[in-house]
Amino acid sequence: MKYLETGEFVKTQPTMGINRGETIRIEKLEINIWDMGGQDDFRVLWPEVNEKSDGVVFVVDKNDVMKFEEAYKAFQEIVEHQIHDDVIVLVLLHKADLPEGMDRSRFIQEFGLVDLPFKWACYETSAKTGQNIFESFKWFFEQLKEG
Amino acid sequence: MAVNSLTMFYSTFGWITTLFNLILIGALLIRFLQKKTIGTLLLFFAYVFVGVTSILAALVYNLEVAGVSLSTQTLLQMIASIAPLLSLTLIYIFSCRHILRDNELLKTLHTIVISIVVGFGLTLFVLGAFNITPQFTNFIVPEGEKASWWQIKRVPITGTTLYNFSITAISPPVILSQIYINLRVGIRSFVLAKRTSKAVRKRGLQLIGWGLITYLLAGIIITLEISIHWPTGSAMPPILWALRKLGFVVAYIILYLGWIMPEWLRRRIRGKTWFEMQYKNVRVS
Repeated sequence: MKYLETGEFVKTQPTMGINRGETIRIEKLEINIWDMGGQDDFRVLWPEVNEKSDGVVFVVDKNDVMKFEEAYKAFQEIVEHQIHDDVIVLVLLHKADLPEGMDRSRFIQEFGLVDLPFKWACYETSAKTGQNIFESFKWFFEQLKEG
Repeated sequence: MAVNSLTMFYSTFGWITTLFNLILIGALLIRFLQKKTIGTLLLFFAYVFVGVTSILAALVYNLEVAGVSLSTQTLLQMIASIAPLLSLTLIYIFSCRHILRDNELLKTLHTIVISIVVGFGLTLFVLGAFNITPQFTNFIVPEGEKASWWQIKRVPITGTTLYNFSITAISPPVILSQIYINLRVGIRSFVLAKRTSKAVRKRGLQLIGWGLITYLLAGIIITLEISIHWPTGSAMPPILWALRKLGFVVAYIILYLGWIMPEWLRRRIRGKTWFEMQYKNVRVS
């Protein structure tokens, strides 16, 4: 999210609770972004925000294979119980600058994205190199604009 | 009881300040409901206690007009005297998370000192309220004499005197604590603002610093008002009172901008985001 604001890599602390982040204005559309802490304790706060959202950006650490299962369960919980049918879903396979990690096509399969009943996209991104940050959010915001 | 124009003046200014304080409390509550963090909760409750003081300080003039008993007014004054200390404790705890860098020992000492002050004042107050003469001493001011913190005499006491004395006794440590903590947090905010290169954070910290200093200066005006013996009928006490209340209003507005940092201000400081600039460039090309 910091990258959207500054266009450069900023070292950040993990989000505690919910952060009312940036507001992005594209032509006449104003998009309010809410940054939600991923730790277990904060997950109970997710539904309240997700239920009112027009779009969800789910960020997965591409290199953290150990947490893949946990991320998958959290994602399923969101798409099955917390969001409306017409919500736009953007999944970011983050930290793509690192050499290891799951590749995008395998991730799409294993994460069950192909069966999602939502308009979705998945990008490999990196806040260090800026890889696909603009492209992924451009797609996401334009989908919101169309909706 | 007839409504004195001066009482009306005091009451009106009291309620104007309270209104701005309530706006700040409302904004902090919304921010807490949005963020659900301990920090925003601490700040919200800190200003709730300031609000309690503000409401009681404004209400006391209405109660006077309504002919409510003096003991009820004294009780409310006592609550109004203690509430700022509770607020101060919460602001201190909040600041330790984000602004100050006090170690555990210092944090504990701060809390102990504030607890002792509150406990001391409350004990005297309760003893006085129930007209109990403490057996351990007879050192309080005699009835009929003006009670002051420094006028400790070895004369038997009555409950009523103790009752009033408790408020007088608690005021100096409350004022000193306000100066000490607000000044520390304010100065530290300026230091942090100087160190950061991020425009939004810099402005936010500066606003917090100025807000706390303004709040403190407004508070000091009351000390000036009560510590100088003004001639009867002097216009200075109401003028200082109005200045103090306006000072609080200005402080609440600045603190609102600093603690909350509304989106319009953030955008004004920061300008367009990197994404918005990129998007515009892509659309143009």
